[in-house]
Amino acid sequence: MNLTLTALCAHLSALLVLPPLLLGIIAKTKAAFGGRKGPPLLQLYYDLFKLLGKGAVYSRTTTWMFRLGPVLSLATALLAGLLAPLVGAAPLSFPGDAVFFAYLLGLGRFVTAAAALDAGSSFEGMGASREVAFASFAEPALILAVAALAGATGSLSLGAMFSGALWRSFGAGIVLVGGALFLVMLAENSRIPVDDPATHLELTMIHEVMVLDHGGPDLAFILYGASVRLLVWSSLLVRLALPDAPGPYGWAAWGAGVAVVGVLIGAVESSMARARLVHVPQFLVVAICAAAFAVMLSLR
Amino acid sequence: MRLFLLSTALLTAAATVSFPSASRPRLAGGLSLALLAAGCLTGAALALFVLAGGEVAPLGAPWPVPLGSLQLALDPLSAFFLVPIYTVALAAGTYGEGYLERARGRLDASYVRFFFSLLTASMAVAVCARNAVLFLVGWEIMALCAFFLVCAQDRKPEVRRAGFVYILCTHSAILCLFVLFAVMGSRAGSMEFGAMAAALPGPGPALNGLFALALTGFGLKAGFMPFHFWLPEAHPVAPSHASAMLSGVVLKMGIYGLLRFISMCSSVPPAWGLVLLAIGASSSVLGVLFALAQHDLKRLLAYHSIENIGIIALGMGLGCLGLSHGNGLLVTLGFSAALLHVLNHSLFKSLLFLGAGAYDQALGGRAIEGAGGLLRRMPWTSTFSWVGAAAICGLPPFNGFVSEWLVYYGLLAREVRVSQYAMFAAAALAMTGALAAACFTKAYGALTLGEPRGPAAERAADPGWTMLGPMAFLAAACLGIGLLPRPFVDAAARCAQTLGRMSATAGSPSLEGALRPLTLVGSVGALAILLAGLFWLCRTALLAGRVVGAGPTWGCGFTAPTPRMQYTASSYAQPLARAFDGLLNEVTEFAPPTGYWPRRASFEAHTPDPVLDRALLPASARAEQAFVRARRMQHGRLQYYLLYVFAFLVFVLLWKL
Repeated sequence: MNLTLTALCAHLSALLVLPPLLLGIIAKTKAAFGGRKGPPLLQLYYDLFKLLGKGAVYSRTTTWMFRLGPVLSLATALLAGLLAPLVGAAPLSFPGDAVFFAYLLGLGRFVTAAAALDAGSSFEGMGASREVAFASFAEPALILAVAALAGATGSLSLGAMFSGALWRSFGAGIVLVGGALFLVMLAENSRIPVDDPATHLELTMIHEVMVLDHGGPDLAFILYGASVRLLVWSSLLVRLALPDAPGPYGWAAWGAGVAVVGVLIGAVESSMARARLVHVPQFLVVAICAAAFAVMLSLR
Repeated sequence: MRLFLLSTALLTAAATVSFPSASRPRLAGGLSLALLAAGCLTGAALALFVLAGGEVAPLGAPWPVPLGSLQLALDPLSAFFLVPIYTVALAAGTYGEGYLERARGRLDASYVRFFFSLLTASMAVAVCARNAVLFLVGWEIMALCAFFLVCAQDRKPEVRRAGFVYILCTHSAILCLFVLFAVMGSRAGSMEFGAMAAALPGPGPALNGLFALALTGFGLKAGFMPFHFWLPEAHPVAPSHASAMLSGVVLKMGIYGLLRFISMCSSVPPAWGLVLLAIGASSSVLGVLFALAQHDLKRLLAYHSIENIGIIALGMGLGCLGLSHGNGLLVTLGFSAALLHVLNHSLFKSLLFLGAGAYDQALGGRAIEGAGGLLRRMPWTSTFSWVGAAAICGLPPFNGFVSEWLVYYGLLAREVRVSQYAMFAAAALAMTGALAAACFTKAYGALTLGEPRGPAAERAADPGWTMLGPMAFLAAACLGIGLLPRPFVDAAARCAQTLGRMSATAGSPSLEGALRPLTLVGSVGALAILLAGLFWLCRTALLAGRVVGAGPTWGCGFTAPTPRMQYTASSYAQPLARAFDGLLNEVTEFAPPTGYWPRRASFEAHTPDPVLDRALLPASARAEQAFVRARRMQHGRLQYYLLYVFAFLVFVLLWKL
């Protein structure tokens, strides 16, 4: 692991500081599409700050499971961020870390769903049920995408897979994998057309309804963790497409790339409605198929 | 090997000691448990000695049984399987004392103790046997003990049905094994495993036929997907500590048999590996899907055993592919993944079954729908069960992830790429993991989270530490293997070397390169725990001095929510049940509410097993009907029987003409 202290600090500070900004970019894009001014770019920072300063109300039904959900899911999101490359090598990198990455996110989902069920409300049960159901389709797509990249690069490490160096040898595969990962990203981060992050209390919601009973610092942990996950996913997409260059230029390219992903998500959310829930598995099966084709291409 | 005999003798004594002292239940239980513990600890010490590299001289003695001889030996493969046998037997046996105490009057304690200890001893003998007759004797005693444990509450009709299904299956399995060993033995002229291995036919239809026999015989025991149907019947009805043994260890005997058979073959055709991969992928996905549709906790766990056997089969398939393609690293990776998952599954599955027993006794039933809120009322049981649930989903930092990671590595890494189909098996494994998480959030959520849905769940309380202690031990083992995986993986890898003659040797750079990341996996798992703890402390610090209130769960404006309005397990599983409707064929009965003031409405969903309920039982019912027609000839009138004889003689005469 040839990781300099500067690179580590840069990685950590980008991972810790930037995530809420990405959500601000998405919100601004949506506002621009809608012809509105929209919330400030730094709105989520204000929200987090406000929430961290609040007290809390816990339901009498809940137990330690409810309190474990936010902290452990934030921990898994941050560790996933240490495994994923932003610019240069990831701080934690080893062969097979791609699988570990997927399962860490799975652990986060498991504890979030358990915490949601702990409140004993049917709304949260409903959200948890949908979350785990859609994850059952997202996970194979993710692993197939990993398999395709492993086949093309011969490495099982995220850093080598997402190096942006595959365009010449595996161009069509990159397009397929990128498409599949984009769809999975929308599903895993509860964006339109799978979920609608803008509303709280419609029976069609997934992630937002799971965290209904969390408040105060817990809600801050959850919102921050979700934004970290989104940044990590966006970074994977950027690293798939752009060649990696360490140093300030690399960071500039990476930042621009992540901002473009944010704009792209905002554009998708502005231009289409949330799909009906029964159609979400079909949406994800498209991702599975794209990734499976990429695997076939990688086997040549 | 003397120690092994001593351990077996102690276990047999543990089996019998309970009968003469049955009038004093405490003494009987204590004596039996002490002997069981002594036997298990002795045997486990011996197994660990062999796994650490020690050599044990094999034991041979003549035996008056035709073709039989008392050939016992301990190689690393046998020793590796002895570890879960003794560990789970000790944990489940200790738990069993508490369980039997609470079930007094419904279960005959001496009966259960006898068959439980004998089951342990017979499995150990089968694993160490090097003579086919001795192996089959051990195997049959094991099968019969398991049958009697399944039938412990034989006054209930569903128990008798399960018992019949089980005994039919296990005897079909042993029939295949009889044929297998008879063919191998007649070629070798001896029933010793060593001679049999030397006389195995070369690659060709004969060897494939033998493999098919082994796959059917051992697969029926292990519960590979088309042969799985007895398992969700038999495992739920046994006493819970016996279920833990059945699901955690007895199934693995099928895996042991298959591995032993593969280790005897000098050449392995590539098709075997692919068949095992296909079986593994289908068993794991279908097993977990059917688990998702169950509402009976122990039945759900039994379907999960099928899933995990599928994961083990994936590992074995990889190992076989490595053998046929001469890739030593893949041999080691595949077989050590399978072996490690054998150990891991035996730990977390028995933990879950022990938890299920505690819930069963507290609630007076195994249905999860009527429960709820047990994490508050049975905190220890529910905490330990949570560890088991997370481990069985293959989530870090628990042990299930370590073996699944090895399987993924074998499926995906370039240096072990021998078949293009392996990549797609990885997708099946990923889906299995996500579905398992769905299934266990469902089962765990319905049972332990939220509010109690019935009076039984209201009154539930933790059992004593005789029952909690073994669960704590198993939970600690699950976490320990997850955090410090290397020694366990290394032991499994050493066993895998004895399986494949060409496998990568310990410490070789390629193997080291593949296994070194596991240390990091463990440390990052520990880091996740630390980080979560840190955030927990942050939150405590933030909330200190602020208003922290307690209130009802927000009812979205509805002011009188009742526990019955919580999301049920059926509704939780509904999106997936609908998405996989073509496979599951869920049967629903729905009486909708009618009128302006509806009185009652009901909804019920259950999922019959595709093999047993939809294929075998209807087929056997049809066969029975066909035979009913034939019964008209059997009426007891002598003159007609004489007529049959006469007609037959005429027929023979005419035929000879």
